[in-house]
Amino acid sequence: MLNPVPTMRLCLQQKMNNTQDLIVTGLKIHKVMEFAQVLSQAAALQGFDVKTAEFSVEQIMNVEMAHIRLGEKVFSPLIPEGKANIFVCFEPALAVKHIRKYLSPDGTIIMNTHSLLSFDATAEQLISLLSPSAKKVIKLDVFKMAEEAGDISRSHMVLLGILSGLPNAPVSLSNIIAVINKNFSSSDAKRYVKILESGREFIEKGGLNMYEGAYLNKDFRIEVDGKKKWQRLLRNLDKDKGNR
Amino acid sequence: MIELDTQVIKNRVKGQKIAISGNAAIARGLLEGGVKVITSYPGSPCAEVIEHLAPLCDEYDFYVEWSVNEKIAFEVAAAAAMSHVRSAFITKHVGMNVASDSLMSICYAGVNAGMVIVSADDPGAISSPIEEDTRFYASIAEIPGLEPYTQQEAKDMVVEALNISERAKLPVFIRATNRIFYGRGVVVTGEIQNSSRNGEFDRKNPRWFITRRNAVRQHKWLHEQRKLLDKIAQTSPFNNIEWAPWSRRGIITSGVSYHYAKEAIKELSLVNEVSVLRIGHFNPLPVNYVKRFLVRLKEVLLVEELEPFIEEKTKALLPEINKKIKIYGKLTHHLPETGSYSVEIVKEAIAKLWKGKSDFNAAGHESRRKLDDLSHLLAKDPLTFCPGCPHRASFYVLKESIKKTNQEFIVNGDIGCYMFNRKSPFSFSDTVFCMGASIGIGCGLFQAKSNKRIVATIGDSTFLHAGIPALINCCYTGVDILVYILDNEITASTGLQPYAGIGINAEGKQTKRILIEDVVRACNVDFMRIIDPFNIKEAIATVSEGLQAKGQRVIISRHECAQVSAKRNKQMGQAIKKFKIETGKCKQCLICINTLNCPAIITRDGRVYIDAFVCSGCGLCAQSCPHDAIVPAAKNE
Repeated sequence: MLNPVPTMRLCLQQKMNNTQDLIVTGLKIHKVMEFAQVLSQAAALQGFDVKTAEFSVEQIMNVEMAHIRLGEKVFSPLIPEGKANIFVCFEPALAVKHIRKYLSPDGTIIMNTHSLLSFDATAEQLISLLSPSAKKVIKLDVFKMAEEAGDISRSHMVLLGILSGLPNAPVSLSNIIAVINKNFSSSDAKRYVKILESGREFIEKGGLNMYEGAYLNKDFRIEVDGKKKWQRLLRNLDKDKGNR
Repeated sequence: MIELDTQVIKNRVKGQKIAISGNAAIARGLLEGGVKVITSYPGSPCAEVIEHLAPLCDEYDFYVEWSVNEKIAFEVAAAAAMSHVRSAFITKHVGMNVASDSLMSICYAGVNAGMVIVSADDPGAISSPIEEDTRFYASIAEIPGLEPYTQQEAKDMVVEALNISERAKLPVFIRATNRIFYGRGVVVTGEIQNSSRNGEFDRKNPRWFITRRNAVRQHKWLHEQRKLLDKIAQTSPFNNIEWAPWSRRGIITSGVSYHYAKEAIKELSLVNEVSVLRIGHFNPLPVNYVKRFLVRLKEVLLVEELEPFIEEKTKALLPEINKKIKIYGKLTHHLPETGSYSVEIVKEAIAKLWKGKSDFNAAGHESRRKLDDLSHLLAKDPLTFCPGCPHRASFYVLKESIKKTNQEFIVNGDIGCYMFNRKSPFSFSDTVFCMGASIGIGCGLFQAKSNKRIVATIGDSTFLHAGIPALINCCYTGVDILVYILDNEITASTGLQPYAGIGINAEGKQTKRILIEDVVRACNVDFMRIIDPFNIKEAIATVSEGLQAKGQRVIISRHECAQVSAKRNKQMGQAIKKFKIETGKCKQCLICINTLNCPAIITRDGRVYIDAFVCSGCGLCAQSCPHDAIVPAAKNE
């Protein structure tokens, strides 16, 4: 059973390839785990080695987090600090500490602006908390988009669509659609794919514009100094709440 | 989420490459191994194994069971294996303690068909009261113990464990950690075996009668099996050495820690200097295999989560090797002795040890400290009951009733969703230990003549699991206690599993229903009432009466779990009547937030809103609002 003493060739094989590291956080009500599951199955379909670590709960308003790593060969299921390439968050004010801990300096944040929680931060404070890592941020109200596309409870499909449209997209849209078609009943799958494509459309129609080192959402202009954007974000949130 | 994995694992196709969770991988392993009787009691992180298998029962002709507790579950599975039917017992680590009584004696007798025990450890106590290392059970019971390091190996190990079990005629213990169960990995499926479910029990065999002389003889037999077990361990395919060419240093690791160690040595550029031994077969330890690894090295670091199980056994081998080798690990305080590991923790230990410098990131630490200073501004981790949860109503009623009585009570908690009452605004659960302990601890507090009166809060499934003997003990010894049973008609905290109290089995079929009130009455308590916690006025009157009465009082607070009703409403296509706050009437007194802490009620810029997406329409806030400002919302709002 004992392995032979390795030659140089074996040692070279041990050189590992880089992985794509992705973190999703949100509440259980956002279906964070379904996001992780669809994404990891799509990645497996694409031929990647996949590992995830999931922190799941049963209470629908408690916090869930999933670490998803994919590449030719993945070791640790937990992403080391400061190594995540993409950070997907459903709850902006909850995700701040995780973003600061895990996101790499050139990482991308995809953020849902519609918060379901109470928080008291002012614009300056939040921006000062996010600033070391928040360089590429895509912001949108996923609830609104999912509702318009037909099912508010599947807002994570919007984010999957956006993810597939990124320049460093970990998985392709067709593989995500294949996983959905395989695992859900045909009527459900049809509905989900519609929501998924609305996310993809958002990215293709200019949700992703390079500007001053930041990705811009066309509905949501980011000021270059970055201060006013949070004020506007909070104002928009309030408007949403008022309408509801 | 569960349906998705179930869809994937039931496919008969061999060689399919899929990314599934550890729970689903073990379920697939049980299918491939042709296991016919599978038992468990719901517990995170391994509850989903049974949930994956339950819908496939008829298709593959096997039996799954949610037993009333782990001891019974173990006995059911063991009896099947004694009768030549392959079986499995799935449990979380603390469940092993409950089953251990049966484990010790049944291992004396052994089994005839393959039996596998899957124990889910929880380093970091993420979803458990404690972080226990159950590897010691394999050691005490003298049975083979295996630990997988990936989901793929978890599946393969289940199949192999069944074969080992049949060879050694002993149950085989598989210990995996939460990162295996609550994580996904790529698994290549194997062939699904067919085996027979027609058992045959040899009643004449004396090995089933474990007492006195038989016990000593069987104990001897168990020790004689050791030779075979050693041989199996020595040639196990689950142990592996990765040699580095110029190395005098090595790491011995096991389970998920292997990944952390590999990633750490990669990041520290030590790949060519540090050899790695991964032990998958931890009991009995493959002694010669480990020795062969040790003799080539001068320094060895042991990386394993929780207790220094392999470390102690490795240290014991040193005198036999006759060579000076330094062993580092938990015993030398190079690695933390508690909690779950991560790449950073292992990297820091290796950097200090072999790079001579710390990997400590000062800039990162500074930014984290700054975040701590401002953390009060961010949204709080909600950690609360779901919107519409009957527990919230039950504890609101209890809190108001205690206020009315003007006395101080010790409120003991138990294991379940209702543990979240520890948080504001309820601040209950003065003690939480293990299943059923709320009542037992209550007995002791009374006998110690503690100056405060006692309330024990316990869930419905927990009551049937371990609460009944404790309640009988209360009545038998005359303890003054109020037992507040929170009956939400499901095992909620582990993901909505059915139990005896609702008369539905693991397969979702109707069986006999065991009514909790009948069981309580049979214990001969002095006072028993059933309340609906959402009927606040009546409930408070009843609970106040119960608090003031003397003797053994039981109040059953019964209302269906909000997630179950939501699911049913969705299936039936029924719309939920949501609530809203009328801005004109709201006086911003925040009573709704300070007494209920419902996640649907949120504040921003000094205004209070109900989020229509989150609201479940229970109406508790409308009942508690003194200004009648909370009213049903019209459909479009």
